Amino acid sequence: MAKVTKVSVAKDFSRFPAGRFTTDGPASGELFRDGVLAPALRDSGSVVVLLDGTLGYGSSFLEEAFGGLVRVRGFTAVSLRNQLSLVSTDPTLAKEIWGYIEGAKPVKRAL
Amino acid sequence: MTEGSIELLKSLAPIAQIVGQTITWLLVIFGWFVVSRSNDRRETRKELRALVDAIRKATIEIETAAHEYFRVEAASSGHQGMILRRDILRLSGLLTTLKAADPRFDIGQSLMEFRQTITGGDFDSAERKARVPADRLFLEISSAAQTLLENLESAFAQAYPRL
Repeated sequence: MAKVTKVSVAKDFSRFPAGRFTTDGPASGELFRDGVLAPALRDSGSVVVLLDGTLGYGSSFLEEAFGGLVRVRGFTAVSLRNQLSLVSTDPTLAKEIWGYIEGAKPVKRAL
Repeated sequence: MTEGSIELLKSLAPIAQIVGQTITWLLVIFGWFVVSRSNDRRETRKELRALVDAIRKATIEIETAAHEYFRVEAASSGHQGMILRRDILRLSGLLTTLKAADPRFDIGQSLMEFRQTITGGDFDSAERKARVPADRLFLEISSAAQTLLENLESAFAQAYPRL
């Protein structure tokens, strides 16, 4: 049976997620993606992200954390649909995040 | 009228009385039901109107705060970004409560666009510069706020027309 990892943004990362890049602050989307989310996705068959418990989200954080998985970390929207679940009392958050994942294009690296 | 038919009518009189009383009671119960239903609906309308007004107020306050936030550069905006995220979260909670009370209030898309307009792009960026008053972002924020309010009022008008 595939390993399921639960990630609570509030408990495992920060109650105050903010900013896009690490240069924007200590709880940025980039840091959440590279320090928590991407490793969990690589180590587990399935990852459940619990979004409640924080003091709100900025779209810049969400786009970098989740859209960035496709744009810069090599995941695809199809693989994330199979691996990633989002849990929130606000249904618009999950919808917004999936919009970023579906809309992200991988960035081609210069050779 | 024959004597037999008079006797028949006399024998039916108690039944007619019972039927008459039953109809009277049914009319009373029906009347009570109509009045009670109308009162319930009026109360629900009043409660949801109060919730809609709270959402209106919160939306306008967030719109104003967002304008203030983008008028100054990142270094001078202090905790305004955190306050905006928190207030949008509270607004989302109010809309969730409203939808739970009546599923016809489906304003999620408008809320999402309002949140994206304010907190997307360079929101929370350490590099963010102060915007000039003519910057298009201010129009977009106000437009997203207005769309949310219009959809909210439209849903209310359709679900609860004046009694």
